[in-house]
Amino acid sequence: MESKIIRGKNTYLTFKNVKTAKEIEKIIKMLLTACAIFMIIVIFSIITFVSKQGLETFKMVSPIEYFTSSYWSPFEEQFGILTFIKGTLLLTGLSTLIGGVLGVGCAIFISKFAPKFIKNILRFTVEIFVGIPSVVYGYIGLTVVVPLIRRIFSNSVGFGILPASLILSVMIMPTVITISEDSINSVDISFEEASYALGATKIQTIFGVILPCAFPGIISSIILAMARALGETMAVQMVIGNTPQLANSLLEPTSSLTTAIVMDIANTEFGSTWNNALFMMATVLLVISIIFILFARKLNRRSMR
Amino acid sequence: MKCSKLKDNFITMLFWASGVIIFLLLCCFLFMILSEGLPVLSLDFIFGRPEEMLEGGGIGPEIFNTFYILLLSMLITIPIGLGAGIYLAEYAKDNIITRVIKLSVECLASVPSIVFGLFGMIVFVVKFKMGFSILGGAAALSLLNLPVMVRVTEQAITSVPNIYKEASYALGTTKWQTIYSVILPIALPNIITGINLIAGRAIGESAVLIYTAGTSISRVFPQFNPMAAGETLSVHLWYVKAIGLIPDADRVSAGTAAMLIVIILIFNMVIKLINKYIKRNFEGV
Amino acid sequence: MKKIRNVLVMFICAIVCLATTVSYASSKKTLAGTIKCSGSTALLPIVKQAAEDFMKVYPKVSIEVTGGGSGTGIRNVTDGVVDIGNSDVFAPENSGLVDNQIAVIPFLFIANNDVKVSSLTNDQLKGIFSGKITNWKEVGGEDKKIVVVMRPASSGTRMTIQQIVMGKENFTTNAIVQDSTGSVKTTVANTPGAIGYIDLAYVDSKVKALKYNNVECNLENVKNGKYTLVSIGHMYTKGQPNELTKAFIEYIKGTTFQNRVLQYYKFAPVTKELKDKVNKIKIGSSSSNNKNTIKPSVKRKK
Repeated sequence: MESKIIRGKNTYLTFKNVKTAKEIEKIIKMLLTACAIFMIIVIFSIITFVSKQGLETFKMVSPIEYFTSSYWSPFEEQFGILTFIKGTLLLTGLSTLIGGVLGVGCAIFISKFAPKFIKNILRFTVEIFVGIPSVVYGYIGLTVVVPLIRRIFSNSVGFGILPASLILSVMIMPTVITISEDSINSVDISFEEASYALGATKIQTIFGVILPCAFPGIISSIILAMARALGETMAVQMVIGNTPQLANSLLEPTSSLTTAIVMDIANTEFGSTWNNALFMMATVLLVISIIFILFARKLNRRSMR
Repeated sequence: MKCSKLKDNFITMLFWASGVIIFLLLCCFLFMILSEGLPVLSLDFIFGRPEEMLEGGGIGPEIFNTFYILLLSMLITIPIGLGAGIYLAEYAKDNIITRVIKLSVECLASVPSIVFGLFGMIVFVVKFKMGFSILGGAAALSLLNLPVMVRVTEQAITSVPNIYKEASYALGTTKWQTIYSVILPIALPNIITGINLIAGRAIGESAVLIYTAGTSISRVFPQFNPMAAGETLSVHLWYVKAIGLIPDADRVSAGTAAMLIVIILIFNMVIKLINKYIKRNFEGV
Repeated sequence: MKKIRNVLVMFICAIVCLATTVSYASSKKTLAGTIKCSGSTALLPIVKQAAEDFMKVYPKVSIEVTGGGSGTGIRNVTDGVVDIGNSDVFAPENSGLVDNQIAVIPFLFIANNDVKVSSLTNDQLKGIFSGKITNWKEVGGEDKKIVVVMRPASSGTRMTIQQIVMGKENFTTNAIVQDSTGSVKTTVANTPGAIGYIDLAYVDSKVKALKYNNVECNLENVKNGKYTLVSIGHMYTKGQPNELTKAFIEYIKGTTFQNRVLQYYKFAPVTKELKDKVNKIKIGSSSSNNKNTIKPSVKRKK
C-alpha cells in the first residue's frame, strides 16, 4: 500500500527553493478560492432565484392553503399542492426503496461475488445506462410498462405511481451501483483480511466489516439517487398521468411536484401567480431534499458510533 | 453452525439474484432500444442532414452539436468543479457556512432540470444576450452539472485515507504539493467515474437545452460558431417523438437513441483507457 | 386512380412553385443575416421547414427556430431575444406586438382504435371533457369506460378547446395529462377507451379520427368553413420587422408556401373568410373567460 505513494510523481522533491513553493501555494489557494466563490455564487443565485420567485406566491395565496389544500385549479385561483407533495414523497420513497435495495445488492454482488467476466459485463452495461436520455425511458414506460400494468391489474388505466417508480428505480440504479461499488472497493483490504483471519465467513465479513466501513459511501450514493428521483421529470411525466388529484392507490393517475412544474411552467406568464406557484413547488422540492439529506446524515452519524 | 451456513448460502443467493435481476433488466432495456435502432444506423443516417417533410433524414449535425456542447460545458464544469471540490475538502474551515454550502450543493440535484433550463434562459439567453446558442446551452448545462462535479470531487478527496496525507506532510511538503502529488492521484479514478457520470447526463439531457440551445441546426455543417443555435441528439429525439411531423419518426427516434448509446459506449471506453493509463502511471503495476 | 391524380397535382404544383421561387430568388439575392424564432410547438415543424426552404434560396441567411411553447415565444419576442415569436393563441392585447397570421391549424378529437363511436357532437364532447359522461355507451358506443387524455392547462390547444367546445364548462380533473402532441397520440393509441385531441397533421392509422358534429376533419371542410375546430398560427414581431424578417414572413404568407408546404402538412392557408370566421368564434365565446391572464384577487372559497 505504502509503496504506491513513493512510486507517484514526487514533484515536490524538485522544488529547490522553498520560497517559490510558498508563492505557488499562495496562487493555487487563490485560484481554488476563486473557484469555490464562483460555485457559491452560482448555487446561491439559483436557489435565491427559485425561492424568491416562489415566495411571491404568498402575496396572492395564503401559505396555509397552499400547503394544506389538495385542490389545484389555476383558472379558479385555487393553488393547493398537497396532492403533488404526496405524489412526490410516495414516488421518491418507492423508487429509492426498489432502486436502492436492488442497487446496493448488485454493487456488493459485483465487487465481492461475481466472476471477473460477469463483473466486467455488468459494470459495462450499468455505465451505458447513465447516458440514456430520460425521454427514452419515458417512452419505454408509456409503450411497455403502462400496458403491462394494465394487463396485470385489470381495473386500472395503467398510469400512476407504480409504473413511474418502476421506471425511476431503473433510472437511479446506475448511480447507486457505481458509487456504492466504488465505496465498497475502497474499503481497506486489510480489514477484510483481518476479519477472515478471525474465522468469519464471507457473509459475516460483508455485513460485519465491509458494509459498515462503506456505509457513508453507500448512503451518499442513495442520497444522490434520491435527489435524482426527486428531480426527475421527463420520464415520470409520461407515465404518472399528471392528474391533479389525490391517488388512493398506486395505480391511479396522479401528479408529482416535478411533473406539475414541467406541465405549465414554460407556458405561463413569468411573474403571474400561477407561474410563481410553480416556482414555489421547486422551492418545496429543495426543502424536501434538504430534510432527506439531513435525515440521512443523522443516520450516518449514528452508524459511525 | 449449520444454520449459519444455510443462512450464508441464502444471502449469497440473494446477492446473486439482485445481480442477475439487474443484468436482465438492463439487457431488456438495451435490447428494446438497440433492436429497433441499430439497423437504422447507416452512414447516410449518421452523417445526413435531418429532414422536416420527407423520409430518410439523418442526424449528422446533431451528433456534432452534442459533442460540441459537451466539450464546452466540460471546459467550464471540470476546472471550476475540481477547484471548488478541492477547496471544500481541503481548505475550507469546518464551520456553519461550509456546512450550508455543502448542503446546498447536495440538494440542488433535486431541482428539476427544466428549472435550470428556464434559469439559463433568463440569465444567458436574455440577460447576457447570447440568444438560443450552443454557448448558452453549454453554460446552462454547466449549471446543472457543477454541483455534481463539486460533490464527487469532494467525496473522492475526503475518502483518501489520512495516513497518505500525514506521510506526505512528514516529508515536509506544502499543502498543494501534497494535494497535487499524493491526494489527487489516489482520488483520480473516483473523480473520473464522476466525470463519466456527468458527461453521460449532459449527453442525455434535453429539458435544459430546449430552452437554451434551441431546436434547430445551423445551415453550415460543421458549425463551430458557438453563438449559433445547436440542437443536440437528445433534443432531436424529444422533438421527433413529441412534435416532429416526419413520416418516419419512429425510425429516426430509434436510430437516434441507438446512436446515443453507441456514443456513451465509445465515451466509456475512452474513459477506461484514461483510467488505466493513470493507474499505470501513478500506482505502479 | 385518385391517388395518382393527387400525386400528379402535387408534382405540377411543386414544379410551378420551384420556378416561382427561383425567379423570386434571383431578383433578391442580397438578403443576409440571422433570424431567430421561438414559440409554439404546434407551428414548429412548418416554421422549421419554411426556414430550410428560405435558406436554400438565400445562401447568406440563417434562421434559427426553437420551440418552448406559445407563452415562451411571446415572452421571448417581447424581451427582444428573438425576432419572431410563434404562437397558436392570441397575444395579450396590450403587448404591442405585431400580429402576422400564417396558418390555420385544424385539430380534431381522436380515440383509441377499439372505440366504435365515430362522431361526437359538441354537447357530447362537453360532457366527456367536463367529466359528466364517463362511459362510451352514453354516447352511442359500447359499454366501456372513457379515459380522457388532455394537454396541460396552459397549452395553446387546450385554450382553444376551452373557447370553442367547452364554453363556460370546466375541464374534468379526472384525466390523464400529457405534455406534447406526440405523447397524447401515443397514450390514446395505447389506452383502450381513450379520447384526446391533436392537430390534424399528426393523425395516422394508430388512432381513430372522430368527426365533430358529424363533419369530417379534412382540409376541404376546413377551407369551406364546415369544420370549425381550428386555431390560428401567429408570428409575432416586436414593432415592424426589419427587411430580412419581413421577407421571411412574406415568404411564409406567400402562395408558394401556403399552397405547397402548409397543405402537405395538413394545415390550411389563411384566407380572409376563414380568418373572420375564427375571429368571430373567439369573440363570441371568450367574453366570459379570459384565460390568458389570471387576476390577482385573493377571493377564495371557505
